[in-house]
Amino acid sequence: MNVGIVTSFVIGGLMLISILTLNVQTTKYASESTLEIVNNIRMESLSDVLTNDFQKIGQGLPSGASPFITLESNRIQFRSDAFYGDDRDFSTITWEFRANEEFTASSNPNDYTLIRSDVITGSLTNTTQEFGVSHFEITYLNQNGSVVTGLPGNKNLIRKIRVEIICESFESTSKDASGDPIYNKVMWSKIFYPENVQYLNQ
Amino acid sequence: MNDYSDIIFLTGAMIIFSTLSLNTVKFFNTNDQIEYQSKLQYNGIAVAQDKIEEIRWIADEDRFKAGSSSFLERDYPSTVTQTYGDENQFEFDYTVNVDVAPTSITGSNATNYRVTVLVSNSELPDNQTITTEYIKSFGN
Repeated sequence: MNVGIVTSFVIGGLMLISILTLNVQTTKYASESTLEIVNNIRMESLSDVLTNDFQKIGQGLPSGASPFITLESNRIQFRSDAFYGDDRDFSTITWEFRANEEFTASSNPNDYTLIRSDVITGSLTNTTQEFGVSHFEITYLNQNGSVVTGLPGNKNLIRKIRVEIICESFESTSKDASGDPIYNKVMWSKIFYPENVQYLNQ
Repeated sequence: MNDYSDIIFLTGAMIIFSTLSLNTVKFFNTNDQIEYQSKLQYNGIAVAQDKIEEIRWIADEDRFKAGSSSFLERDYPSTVTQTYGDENQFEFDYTVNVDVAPTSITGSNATNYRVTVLVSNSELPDNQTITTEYIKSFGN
């Protein structure tokens, strides 16, 4: 048995294992990075649509019409001409987070369905968009920034609406020590001050 | 010398490979840091926009007058904590500062104030500050 050859095999093997490990790590990191970018883009698209809707709550309504219909932490329904200037009249817009309905397009079990529906009053046309998010919460605040209680009765006290979203990647990026999958998370929150609810009669 | 040539080659290869590994890990770390900082910036911009929106709806002009007891700048700097998740799993702290200065706009009959909102976080690179501006006008 040639000691030199055996030693070469052992050292060569160790080098090979190191190179393969580095290669695996680099590939894993590249996929994590891609998932992070995709997740950021998803959040950006969602926040764009949501910002457009929430800033325009109550816009273009006939005199006396209340902007708010439903006010819950996981569901808001309001009237608005969210695309003011087009040939559409105002519509009823609903944002609803269904925390018991898994988002089927994602393999992440923490992803649930967030639905945006837009129904033009008196029309059967219903535009629906679905998003997959892991957390969605709406908080209704008054002029002083305190949470408005007794909704929907006290809906005219609302001046600010805080929306909080957490988006997780559709695929797991790695596994933790106990073997559970880890998902990339992106958080976003914003307080909206819709112009058309600032002067509602209290 | 011939007896040691293998060891010398092997040492050279290990040094090159170690340098490569270190550079790769360094790249991963830098990238992670940039990703984290971009999350901070993204949410910091939302904090600055929230503050501008809040200032936009202040109806009392005294809050923009430097000598007034209710002057807006007296409330700052303040710390804004952004929490996310069911049990506040994630938390970011921002320092918000507001600067108010009277400004004149050519052709405007209103009294105008330039409000600058500065948002910072200790983990942003090079003491970076997110700055947003808003012109608040009051009719004469």
